[in-house]
Amino acid sequence: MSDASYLHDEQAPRISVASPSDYFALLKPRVMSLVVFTALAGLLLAPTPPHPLIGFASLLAIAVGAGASGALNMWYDADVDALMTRTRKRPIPAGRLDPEAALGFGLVLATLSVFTLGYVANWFAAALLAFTIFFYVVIYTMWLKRWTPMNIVIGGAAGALPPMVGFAAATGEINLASVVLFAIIFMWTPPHFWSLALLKSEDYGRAGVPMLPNVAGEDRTRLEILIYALALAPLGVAPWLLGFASLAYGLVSIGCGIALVAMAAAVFKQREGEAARAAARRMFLFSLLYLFLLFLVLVVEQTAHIFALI
Amino acid sequence: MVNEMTDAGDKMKERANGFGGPGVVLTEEQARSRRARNIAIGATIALLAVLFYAVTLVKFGAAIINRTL
Repeated sequence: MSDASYLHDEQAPRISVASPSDYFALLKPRVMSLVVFTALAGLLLAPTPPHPLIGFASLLAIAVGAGASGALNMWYDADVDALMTRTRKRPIPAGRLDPEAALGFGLVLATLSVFTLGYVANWFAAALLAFTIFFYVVIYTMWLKRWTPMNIVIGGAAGALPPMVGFAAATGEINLASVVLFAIIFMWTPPHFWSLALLKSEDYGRAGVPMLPNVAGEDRTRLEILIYALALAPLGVAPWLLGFASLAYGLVSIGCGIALVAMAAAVFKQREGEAARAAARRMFLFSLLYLFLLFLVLVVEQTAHIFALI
Repeated sequence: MVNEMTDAGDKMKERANGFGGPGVVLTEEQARSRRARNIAIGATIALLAVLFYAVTLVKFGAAIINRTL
């Protein structure tokens, strides 16, 4: 018996071979980047922006809070993730990380992010961040996701809250502008994820997640995507109409809104074969670009405003 | 005298190793990943300490130098 052979014994201690990048993957970096971006837009909407370092630390805390939500989501959903091609390479289903490690990691980061935001910004923003984490993990992940095809509609509130958290971090309160940004992301979430669900309905079906195409059918999903796009397009223009965004934002939001509705109409119209899949794929990708462009214009013009360039 | 000390050291090692076993011997991959995790944790804690220190200075503002000498 060699010195190390006992390590293969079942009684031997389990020693992790997870790398820091596996833990980083638990944070869902792409979702985290969207959260940071939208929270930044909310933060910059404050009449008096915070000190840059306070703003940076606040965004870092919000990002870590979002990452903690992702880690706790991956811990709870490991069984479902293992059944879906889109998610089976995640660290837990791939066997690179123990679920218990992900749970501990998520809980520590969630606590750390809330208390950090409370210290660097204020406790109202920290409470809002704690509520966001709770809503995503408990209300969406543990309850809605496996129970109702409306999971994305209601659960979308968690992804929509970061601009309000950002604004609250800068001001200690929320205002109409931050609620409008919340509403834009809230209305954006269903058509974005339903477009993905049209492409991955087999995946969701195999995992038993009741997404709209699996429960109500693809035709109903296409109709819902169109309805939400029709509601989202004018809502996207609201920041300009309400006076907290410039004409440039207004023009971008109108142009993008028209394109979004056109793509939703194509999804509604194209129902068979590769053309239908291509339309859903275009809608999914463009919806990402839509949200990015709207918030990019807001961030750029608010930054320019702060530096008194306009 | 020297032999007695060596014997005592050997006995302590035996006890620490659990009846003379090899203890936990990490594979190369386990050791590498543990080292990488330790470096990541260390760097994160160091950055957090710097961040909290700097944030505290900013929050105090100019009042931080207003003290009795």
